[in-house]
Amino acid sequence: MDVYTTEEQQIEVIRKWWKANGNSVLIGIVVAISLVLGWQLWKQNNQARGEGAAALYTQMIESAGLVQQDRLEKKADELEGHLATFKHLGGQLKEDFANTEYGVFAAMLLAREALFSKQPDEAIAELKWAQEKTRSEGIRLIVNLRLARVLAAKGDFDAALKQLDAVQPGAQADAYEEVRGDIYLQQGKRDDARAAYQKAMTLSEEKSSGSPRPILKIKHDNLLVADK
Amino acid sequence: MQQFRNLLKGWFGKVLLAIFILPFAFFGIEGIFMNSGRSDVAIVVNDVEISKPEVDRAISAQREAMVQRMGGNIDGSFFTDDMLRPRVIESLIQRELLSQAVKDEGLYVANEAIKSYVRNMPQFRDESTGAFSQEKLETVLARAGYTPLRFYDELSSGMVTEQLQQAIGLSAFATEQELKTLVQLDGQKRDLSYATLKLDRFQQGVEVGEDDIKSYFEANREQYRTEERVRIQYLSFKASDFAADVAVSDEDLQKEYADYVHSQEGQERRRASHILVEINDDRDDAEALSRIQEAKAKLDGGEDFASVAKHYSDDVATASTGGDLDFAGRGIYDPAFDSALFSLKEGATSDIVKTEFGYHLIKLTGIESVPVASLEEKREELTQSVRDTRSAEQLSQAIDQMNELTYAAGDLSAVAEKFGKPVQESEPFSRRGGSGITADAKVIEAAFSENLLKEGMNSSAIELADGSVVVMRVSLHEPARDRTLDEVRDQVVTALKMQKARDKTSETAQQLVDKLKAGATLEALADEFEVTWVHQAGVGRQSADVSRTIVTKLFELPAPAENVASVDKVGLPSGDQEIVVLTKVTEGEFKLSEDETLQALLSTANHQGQLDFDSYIATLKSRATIVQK
Repeated sequence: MDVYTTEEQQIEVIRKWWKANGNSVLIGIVVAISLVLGWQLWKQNNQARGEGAAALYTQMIESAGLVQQDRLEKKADELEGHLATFKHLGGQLKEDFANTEYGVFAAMLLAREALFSKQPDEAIAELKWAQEKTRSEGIRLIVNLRLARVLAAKGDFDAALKQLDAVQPGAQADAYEEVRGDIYLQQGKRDDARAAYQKAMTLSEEKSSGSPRPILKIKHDNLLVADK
Repeated sequence: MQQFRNLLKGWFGKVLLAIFILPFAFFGIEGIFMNSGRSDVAIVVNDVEISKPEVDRAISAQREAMVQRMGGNIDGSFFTDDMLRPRVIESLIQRELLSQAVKDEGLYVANEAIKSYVRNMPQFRDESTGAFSQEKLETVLARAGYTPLRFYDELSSGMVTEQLQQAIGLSAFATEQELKTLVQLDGQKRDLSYATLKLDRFQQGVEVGEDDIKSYFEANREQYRTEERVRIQYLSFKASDFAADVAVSDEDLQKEYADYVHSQEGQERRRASHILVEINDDRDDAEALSRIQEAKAKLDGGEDFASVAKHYSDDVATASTGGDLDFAGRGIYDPAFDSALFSLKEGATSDIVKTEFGYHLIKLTGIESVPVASLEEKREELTQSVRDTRSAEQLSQAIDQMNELTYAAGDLSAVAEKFGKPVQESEPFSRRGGSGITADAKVIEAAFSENLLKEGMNSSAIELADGSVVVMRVSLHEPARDRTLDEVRDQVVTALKMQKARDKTSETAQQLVDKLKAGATLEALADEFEVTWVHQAGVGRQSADVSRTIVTKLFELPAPAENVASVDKVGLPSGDQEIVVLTKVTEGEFKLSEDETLQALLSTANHQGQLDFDSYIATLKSRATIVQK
């Protein structure tokens, strides 16, 4: 290592270094600052966009509540208006925020509404859209199971079973097996259905380390066969 | 080194510089240097740490909630930490998982929305104005151990979690086929025959051999252990023990009486009328003063108080009723108003009084006084009250002396001598406590403490729930021990006979079941086994016509097939056995009105939504790294 003997010499060395490198250091600092500012701006922008989507989504949830209330109270006129608002908000969320989970949520809500109005094909389209766009494994699995259930409701049992087999349900396997049992039962395959329910019960007990879900047990016990 | 310096001079150096600076910009210096070495971590959820104090806080909150749910009729200590911990930890993990998930999924809530939510919370409203009060918010939060920042954070996390929950829950549905299946299953009816095989039939004539007794006793030794017990020597003091030593002088009595009189007078209520001239935006102090002076001049000129009030008073609520404020005790009004009112003679009007509202003229219109008894009437009561206070003081002084005398002493004789009381001895008692003073939780705790039990020390003075004070030591300690067979032979024989009878009942029930399955008729078996069949048709899942145990078993049986009876036995806690035979299954009907269908669809969808959300959490959990320390 070099040794600088006097203070003047040291200052001289620093001055020289600065002359040679000062610009680079300054540029470095400027680049760093602008990176940070840019990041902050991007974050702020994201936050503002997210808040916008959240506000729209909250409105959609509110209108979903109104739609349900109108149906229960049989207010046909108001139902029409509220339903239009609900669908409009859903469409807007899907269009403007397709790359956020809010768009996905909107599609899921629209799917339920479509099924409610006896339009299973539309429900399937919404669910497929949601499944494609979501970034959450949990949501993807839930939506996939719903797809299988709507296909089964249409009577397309093979497609429904195929939909179940298309994913690895992991921690949701109990729910998947229950739906598999429902489909088998509809196909008249009682033994297969019982086996599927049995598997669902075992999985659900493992998961919650408690008693199986009551409805699941009822479905299973109903398929028991008497033997000697 | 030279090479390194050259390296720094180039573009690489600039990039390095930026890399060094960047982290500070994001996390600040503390973020880099203070994020390690926490020792009180209880759970780690994907690198996020939940501390032990946080878990403890959540446990106490949970305990409080449980006590509240029981209507406060139960002591919090009933729910031990070990009982509550697993559920609390599970819910903390879930909350953390969800709060991470909503971040990953990019969910937001606007600051404005949080603020408006807080402003609408009734907890933070000022009692008198009913409007949101920042001050109230801060006190309420401080009392609950929250900083406003942490509160807003948790609130925001709760609100975004709700968005997620709604997305899954409100988008859930039930298909018509699913609904139909549920309705049919729910409405299913079953016909059954059942018979009870009574335990007591098998209790007579049960023989038990010596070997059976021995082996049963060995297997259940634990059950026959004695409890750990202690006997204590103690001295118990009440304040009244010292009453005889207390002299009450005439001076004491006078002072006590003066206090009594003062407190009676303090309860006096007075009725006031007033005229208020406000100092406000339209009227400054000087203007207000000159206006009230004008009013006073009118009153002095003999004009009626009520009419002056009507004309001058700004207190809209009272101006038209002569300024009447009704009766009020001391300390209700502004201090200046108060002291003016309580120094007036009845019917008199005060000088001008200034309060924060403005200028008042006050008229005393009525006095509701509280009667004051004479010293003679109160003599006995007051003497007793002085005596009580003094004896209590004496007792608390005595506590210090007791602690000195018992400390490091081998028995209680010094205390007994000093206070002239004999040492008493209790009956033996276990940790569950005995009767009298040994039922007191503090006495039990002290008696079974390390110091008294193992070290043979005296206790310090203990104040009991009833106000008395006890010093004690353990005079006899019986550790828990196994009893010998001879001590408990009768109990063992009874228990063994009971078990044999239960086994016999169950075996016989099984024979009955096997014969039915083999094709025997109910009638034939009724004779053979001396049982009576009860037939019940159309039993539903919620039926109350037969016992719950039978209904549950009935719906767990397979449907009967040709030549195969569907039958099983089920044991009751009493040892009786029920033989349950399912004879017929009738499918439930799917016949709902349009309204009922809508209701059922919505509630089934709601239930499905909860299951879906559970599934969602299960997926989160299975993909997370969770470490419990």
